[in-house]
Amino acid sequence: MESYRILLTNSQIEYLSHQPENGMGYQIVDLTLKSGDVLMKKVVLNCSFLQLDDQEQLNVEDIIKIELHRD
Amino acid sequence: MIYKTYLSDTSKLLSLPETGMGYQIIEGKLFLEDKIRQYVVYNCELAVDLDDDFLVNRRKIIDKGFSNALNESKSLLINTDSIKIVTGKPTYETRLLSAYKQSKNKRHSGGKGAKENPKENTDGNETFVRVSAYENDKRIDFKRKRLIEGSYTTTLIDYYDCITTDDNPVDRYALPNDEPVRWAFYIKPAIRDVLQRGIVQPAFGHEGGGIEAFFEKGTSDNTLYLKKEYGVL
Repeated sequence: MESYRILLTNSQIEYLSHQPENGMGYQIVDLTLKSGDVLMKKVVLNCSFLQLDDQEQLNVEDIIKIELHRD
Repeated sequence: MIYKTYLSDTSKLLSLPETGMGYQIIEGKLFLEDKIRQYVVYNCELAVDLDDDFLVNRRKIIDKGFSNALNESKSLLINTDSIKIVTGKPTYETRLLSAYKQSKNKRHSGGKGAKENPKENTDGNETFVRVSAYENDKRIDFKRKRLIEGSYTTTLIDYYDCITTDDNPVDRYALPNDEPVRWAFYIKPAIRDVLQRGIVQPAFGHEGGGIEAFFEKGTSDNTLYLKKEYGVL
């Protein structure tokens, strides 16, 4: 499956910069979208780049909340 | 032992399906022997006994090169009609390959991830390395020269093992992206800094097996002392 990345906003980057990593260089997050959908267990690289699958067409404006994923 | 196959056996093997990409696991009887033996055959022409010495022999092939190994090997005196593909065993080869990787690349198996292990203080002398695709790695506070809270590194020893064995850091540290690692940040935590260390667990289709160290509270100021290009020791 192909993937692509979007750059998060400064406030999202700032928030993630203060959250623990899940492994070297990445965090696993849940995203709440404007539509009400919640995308779970997505990868963010370097607190900045959200990695998405090709079929998940998203803009950063679609995200209203980003949180670390909790198992 | 390592063997080359006779042309007739190569022809037979070509008519049989592969077990995995580029190899077949077969069984068959040698001439003048009743016992059925198993082999891993590469490219339908180089056979290796599937026994306790398999990893050693596989290593020899890699060290010598396929052609040299082929030239130096004795022929496999197997009865062509007895050759069969072993079914239901691909995981065995996978396991052996995985064990080979552990041995060749000095990776570790089992154990727990860093967060599962108890906290310990650093001794003030040990160096840790954070590998990254990004020069502006967000987990490094460049102003205070420290690792920020909740960040991972590996140990200097494991980093050296990764480099000197020509290992793939993306697989070793089970990273979610295939972006090439370009940078290495060297950190020598102060004695009061606390970490948890463990073994990178398989994730994202990667095997892991490197060492990871998690700094829940980050490291003290001025503990980042060096930034180098990845792979430059």
